[in-house]
Amino acid sequence: MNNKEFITKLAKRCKLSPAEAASNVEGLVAAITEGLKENDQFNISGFGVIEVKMRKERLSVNPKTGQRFLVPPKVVPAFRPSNKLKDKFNG
Amino acid sequence: MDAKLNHSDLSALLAKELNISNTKSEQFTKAFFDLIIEGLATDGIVKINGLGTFKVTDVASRGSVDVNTGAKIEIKGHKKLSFVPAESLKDEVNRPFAMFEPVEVDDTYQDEEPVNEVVDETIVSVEQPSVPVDEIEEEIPVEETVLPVEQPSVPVEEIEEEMPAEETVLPVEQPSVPVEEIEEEMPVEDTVLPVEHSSAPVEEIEEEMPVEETVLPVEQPSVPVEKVEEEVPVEDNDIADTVLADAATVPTPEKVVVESADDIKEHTKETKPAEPVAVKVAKNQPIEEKPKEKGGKKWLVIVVLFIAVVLIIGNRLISGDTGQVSDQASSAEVNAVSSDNRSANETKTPETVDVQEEIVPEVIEEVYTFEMVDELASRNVRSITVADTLHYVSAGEWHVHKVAEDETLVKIANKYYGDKRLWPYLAKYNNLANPNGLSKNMEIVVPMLKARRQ
Repeated sequence: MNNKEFITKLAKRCKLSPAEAASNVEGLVAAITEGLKENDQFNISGFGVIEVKMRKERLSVNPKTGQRFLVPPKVVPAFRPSNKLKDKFNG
Repeated sequence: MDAKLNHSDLSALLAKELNISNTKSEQFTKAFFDLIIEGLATDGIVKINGLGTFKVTDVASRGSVDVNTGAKIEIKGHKKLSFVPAESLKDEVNRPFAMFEPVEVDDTYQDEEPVNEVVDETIVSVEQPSVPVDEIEEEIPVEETVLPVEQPSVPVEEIEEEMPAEETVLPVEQPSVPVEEIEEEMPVEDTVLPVEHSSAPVEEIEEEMPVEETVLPVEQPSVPVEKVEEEVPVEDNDIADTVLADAATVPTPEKVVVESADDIKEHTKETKPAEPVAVKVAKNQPIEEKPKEKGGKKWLVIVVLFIAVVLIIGNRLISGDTGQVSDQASSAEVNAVSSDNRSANETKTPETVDVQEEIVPEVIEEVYTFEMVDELASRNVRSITVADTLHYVSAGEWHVHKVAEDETLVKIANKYYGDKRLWPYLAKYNNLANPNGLSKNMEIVVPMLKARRQ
């Protein structure tokens, strides 16, 4: 299901026009992004946790050339599904 | 900041952002997440612009071992939910760390070259000082060899063996003056001859250090000769009371000589690893002293200093060739010894002779140890110079080497050049970006190496 299909289905379900649904989705994504930038954690029951994680710096080797790189630390967004959701897919 | 927000918090944020009622936003968010779950159930993948992709992936079943019993068990395959964040979301979240970029780590390759440069510098510094030393050594002996001959020529008649060498250089300047002295001294010296055997070992040692002995006379010959004639009689009265009967001029200087020589021995031993110097000083003294005597102390200091300098130079010469000089020198020594013995006989003080003999063995030891140290030092210098690996230029292809497993540039360099330190030439010639990363069956071109300097 790509973005377009997702928005049309969402519009139908919420009885909104596709344009409205699209702007609403945009707003929701913006809200989540703002929250993640603030190191916030979204705990949505029945779905899971959207959060950010720290990755430490590490040494990596290019297997082709053998070059070694020091990869800097970074922050990445992550999703952790709830147990309920996991159970749903694993019957 | 670091807040844990739940469903209602998120809908409140959304309501604020979109300017809609809380209930409406809450409905919308609920529908949003429900649809994601639905989409995952039907399609297994849901893409949302600006957020990312949710995906259901299969995890295959795999074998494992029960930790407690050790029995093999099988972990059944299952479905897993994964989330890949969109680039825009990643960038936004990682903004605080955005300025960092991966840095290539290159810690092994750089060390080699600076080391070689250092070696190069040290070589240069070592070589330069050695050159002037040689020049000095060549210059000095020339002057010395001419002058000292004056005195050795005196005893020529008594000691027949070494004569020829010195006679060639005979001085034209003062033959007249010394001749008179010689005549007076002659009788005394005849008696001396047998005594030379006692000092025989001394001569052997001295052969090594020809330079110094020839040097000594250089300073005083011109001045002293005249003095001798005037001063001698005065001293006779003071010191040599008993000896007056013999040769008026000769005896006094020699007494003085013996004492002063002993003093000098002590000084030289203390100050420098003067080795043979002590012995030589003793022997040279008699010759010099004739002239010295009254101006003695000044001259002694000068002579000792000069001996020290010449010794240092002489030591370097020892390792090289001193053949010619040693002939003259040894003859000069013999003369010196004879004159020394003379003094001993005349004054009839056997103790002085003993003193010399006692000193000899010690001196010998010092000589050898000092030479060894010198040799070691020179060896070290050489080993460093050989280590230089910068003096080559790669000239053309020589071999093509197929890299075997576990082979490194160092091993290849050792195989073809016999010197593992030359591996940088391989790396450079083959334009290897990473000299550590040889792969099997890679072809390495081994260049010829030609010396950069002759």
